[in-house]
Amino acid sequence: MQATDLEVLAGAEASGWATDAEVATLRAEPEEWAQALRRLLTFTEEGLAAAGHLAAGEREQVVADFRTELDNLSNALCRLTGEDRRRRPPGPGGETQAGADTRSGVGEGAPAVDLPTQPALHGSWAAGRIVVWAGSPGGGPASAEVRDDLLGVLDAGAVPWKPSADVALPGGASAPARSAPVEDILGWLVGVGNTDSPAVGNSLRWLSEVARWGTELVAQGRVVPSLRRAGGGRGSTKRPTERYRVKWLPALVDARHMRRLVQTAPGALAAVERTITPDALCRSLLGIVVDAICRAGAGRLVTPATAEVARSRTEVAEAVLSGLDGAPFAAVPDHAGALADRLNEWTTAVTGESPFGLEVRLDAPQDDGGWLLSVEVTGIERQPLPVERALTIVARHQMRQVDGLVQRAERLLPALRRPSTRRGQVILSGDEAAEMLFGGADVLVGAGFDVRLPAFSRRRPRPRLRLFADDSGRPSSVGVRQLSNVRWSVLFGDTELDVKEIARLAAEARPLVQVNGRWVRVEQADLTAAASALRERAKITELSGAAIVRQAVGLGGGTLGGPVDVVGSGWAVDLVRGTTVNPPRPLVEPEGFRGELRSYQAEAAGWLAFLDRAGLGGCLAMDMGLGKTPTVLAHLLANRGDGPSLVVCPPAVLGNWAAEAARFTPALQVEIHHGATRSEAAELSGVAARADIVLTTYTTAMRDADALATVEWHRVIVDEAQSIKNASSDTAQALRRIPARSRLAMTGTPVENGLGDLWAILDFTNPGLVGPRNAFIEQLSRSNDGEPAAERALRALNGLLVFRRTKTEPAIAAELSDKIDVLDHCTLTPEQVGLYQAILDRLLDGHLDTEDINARKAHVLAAITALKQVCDHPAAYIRDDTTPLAGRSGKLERLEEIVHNVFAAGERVLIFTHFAKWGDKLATYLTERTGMPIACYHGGLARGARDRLVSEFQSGTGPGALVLSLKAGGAGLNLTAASHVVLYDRWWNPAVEDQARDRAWRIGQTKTVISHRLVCPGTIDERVEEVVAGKRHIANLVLPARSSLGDIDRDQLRTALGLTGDVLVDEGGTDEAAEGDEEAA
Amino acid sequence: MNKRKRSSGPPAPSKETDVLGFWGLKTPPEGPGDATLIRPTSDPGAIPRSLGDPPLPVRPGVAEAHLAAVYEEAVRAATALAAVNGLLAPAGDDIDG
Repeated sequence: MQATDLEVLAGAEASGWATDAEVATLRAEPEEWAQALRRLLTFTEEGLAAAGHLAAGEREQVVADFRTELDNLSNALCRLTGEDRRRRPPGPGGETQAGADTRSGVGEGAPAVDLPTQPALHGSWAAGRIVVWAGSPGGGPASAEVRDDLLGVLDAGAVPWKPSADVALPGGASAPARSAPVEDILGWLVGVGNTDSPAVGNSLRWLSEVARWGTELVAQGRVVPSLRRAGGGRGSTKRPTERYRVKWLPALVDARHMRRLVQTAPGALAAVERTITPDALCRSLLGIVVDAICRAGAGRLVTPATAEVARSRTEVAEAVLSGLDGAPFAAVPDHAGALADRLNEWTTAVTGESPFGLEVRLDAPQDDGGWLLSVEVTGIERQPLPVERALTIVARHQMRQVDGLVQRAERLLPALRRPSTRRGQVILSGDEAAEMLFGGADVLVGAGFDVRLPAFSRRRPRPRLRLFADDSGRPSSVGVRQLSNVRWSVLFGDTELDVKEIARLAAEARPLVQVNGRWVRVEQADLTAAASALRERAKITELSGAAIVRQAVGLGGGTLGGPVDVVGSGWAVDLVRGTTVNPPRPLVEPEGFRGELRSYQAEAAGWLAFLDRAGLGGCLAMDMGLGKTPTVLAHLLANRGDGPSLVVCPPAVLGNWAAEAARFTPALQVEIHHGATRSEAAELSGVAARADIVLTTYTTAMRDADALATVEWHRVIVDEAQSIKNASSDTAQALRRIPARSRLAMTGTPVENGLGDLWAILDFTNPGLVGPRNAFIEQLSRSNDGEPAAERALRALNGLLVFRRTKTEPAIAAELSDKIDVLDHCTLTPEQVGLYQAILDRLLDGHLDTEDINARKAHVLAAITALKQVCDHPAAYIRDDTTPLAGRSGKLERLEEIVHNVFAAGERVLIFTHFAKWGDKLATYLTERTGMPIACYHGGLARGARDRLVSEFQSGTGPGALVLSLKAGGAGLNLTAASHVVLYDRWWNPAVEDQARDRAWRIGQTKTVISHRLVCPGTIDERVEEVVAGKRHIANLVLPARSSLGDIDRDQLRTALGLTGDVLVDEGGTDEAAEGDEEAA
Repeated sequence: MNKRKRSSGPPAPSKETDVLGFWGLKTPPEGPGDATLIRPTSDPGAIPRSLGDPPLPVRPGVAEAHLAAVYEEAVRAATALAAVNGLLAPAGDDIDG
């Protein structure tokens, strides 16, 4: 084999390119192989010396390449013969090596500063390989085990590391090392620095940053191909054929970033290859990274076969194109060398450093003129210079550089090549300007030019209709019937466009408009929709106040549906602008209000006043637990004297209303119109005249609708307004017959089953205003953004016809306590009253006759238990499983309402009772009523079953409930999936109740926990409540101080246990249950 | 008395300075929080296009087309590498210019 052929093979083997057959050929002639390597080393060292004469920009890269070649060849020779030619004099870079020959350090001569002792993984450079070792400045070298542990921690355990000579550290110690070629660990090296792990040493972090930079350069297309001899060097040789390969080079390298890296290079990088400079190392590593990624990318393409040996210019060019993946090819040196030089010349504008740069500036049009694009040259004077001026003042040898720069820009921006009065200045059309803003500018920046653009945004502006209303010259009627002249336009952000402007923009391919000070591109589809929307409304020149409000909340329909921006003058405009531009002022607590309104409650009360002023009704839709009742009470107190308000609510919350009015607004006169003893029709006006609030239930209101309709109510308020979601139900129809100046609906769940619920509520509060049901649902169901219809509808209406606040809003959550206690006053049914009285009578008339004190005690305690069971439900006492539970207990009804609301909000609830058997019945009943499986956790269950219940409840999402016996489930469990707790019956010790509530309110809970305590006023329940609330001591109450139980006389017991005048009796329970069924059906 | 001649050059680095320099403690490299996220180009072939016709005497358009394809693949490979290492800038974070 000829010497030159051997050199080719030896060079390929040294660079890792040789095939197995070629390596076998070399192994057959080891002495010749070594000679070939020595010759190649000599050639390469000569080339390295010659590289010193190259221009500055190109020199660094070429030197780095030669160094790599030298490293490869030296290593190959060392492997083959043991001859070490790896110690070389400094190359042309000439910088002082960092860290080399550093012998001071740990132990003798150790620095006086505190040095880290935690070992980290470090990396050193060794001829295209990364040598990894572990150590620390304070602790010295780490063992191989520690190093391997660190490699595992940093996800490099699977890398095929090869054994490597120990690395000498300062102070003479050495660290066991391993190494791998950069290409083999590139995926790991790029990312290993992107962590704050202390396991990553500074040298490794530095190498990673260079690898990241190389990756960035390729990702930005900042690379160019070059042609090199496969065994080293670029130039021609005297051999008939040579092997060549494409090497990819970084382009447009940021010199400042390079300097920064060089300045921060740890000396440890050169702990193996001691003569290498940081600059050379950085360039070598950058070159290897860029080359490896580009070759990998090119390798994905299938390329045509080329000649075995490229002998002509064309064949060499074809071989280059086929070899962009770096595969070596054989070529005639003359042609290949010439092509290498031409490639070098072609790319020199982006591989070398130049003092000049270009600044490309786009100026927005002035007074209907075009967009001015101008190119200026930087680096000549302090200020950028116009191209023609720059070309006249630079030196002759620099003129080519400047011209080359401008030509590069002209190739990327063909508009610059248009005939123009001045080179580098051109007027762009709107389409060209859009192309420049949203694409061309990025390309120019990527190609290394500075670009200055007017402010722009890629956000797509959505068109929205604007309605201008003008009531001047119209009759002076004010309100929903007021007619106004209207005209229409379309808003893109803050830019208003009329029909003509839209038509003009539609004629452009990429129309631009300025929105909020930024240029944005308007989509043709949006312009088409805008034009269509204006066409549809061209004949609508007059609208009523109600119609304008409907437009404002998105009920107008047609193309570009959604809330319309309403401006101009008139009742409706003032109304709509009043909620957006000048939102109502929050209410300051009125005199006599006992409590403090939270800020959102004050806002809600301000909104209620706004409704009164506007003559509108509305829906107060704050989440359960946010205090709707005190908010409304504050508003009623602030406007006391306007006239009576009728509050219609379920019987289960009738007591709450009375209790909360007494607590927060004792000055308000409250009358209850409910039960058999309620006022006759003829007396109602008199009752209303002396009352501020008349409380009644839905059933009573329905029965007495005609009588109630004779009263001049200032407002009718429906609480738990989901009761009227069926607009055709008897209840809803009856309530509509009761006239009032305004109507208010209160509910925490305004949309339970669909937008029809909301329509029913709003059509009750403002009859006719929100239009027909189907249109309402259709308009508010439209969505382009995937937002649920209910949320979008509530957002559109919020502040005008609806006041919506939820516990999950950050501002609300911040104001809320993390737990809220709510006392719910519940009614008794006649059945409960009868049973209660019978138990008490039996105790007082018979069981106390015995002289046996212990027996008397037992009877009293048994009676207390029985009375509490009756308050829970008759079935909890009489253990009758045959009679349905519905309609027989006020507490049960209230519980059902709470569960209903909790489920409607998608939340979970715990229900505690201290009667386990009743708990079981309750769970079964709630399961049937809600259709959701609801279990009972009690002490009778096996441990595994109990654990499973807790686990299932905790892991569930969405609506859910669990009934628990207070004794078995009151302590120790973690049930943070629940955000509501119901204490169905009371226990004497508040700590026991707190423990029960704390199953949900504990670490891990992220929501506010609302605890409902159900109490039947005027019963044993209330006595317990007084004890729990600390208003009485058990001893003072007589009960259940056991030592005295046996001594209590009949009167004392009657006082302690008997029904008082506060008891709330629900006499219409059965009817209401029946109606509920009717509505559900 | 044998006086040692004082060097006129910069003072030699102290042992402490050498050790700090070796371990990269004098001017530590940028930390993970400083790593610039990679924003791939939308036009991989911009650089070669700006340089004009490549000096490869093959049929017209062939070299440009092939180079463009290779640049595209190279950018794709680099983007993938950046993505797996969590170094890719999220799309749309430069929505305003």
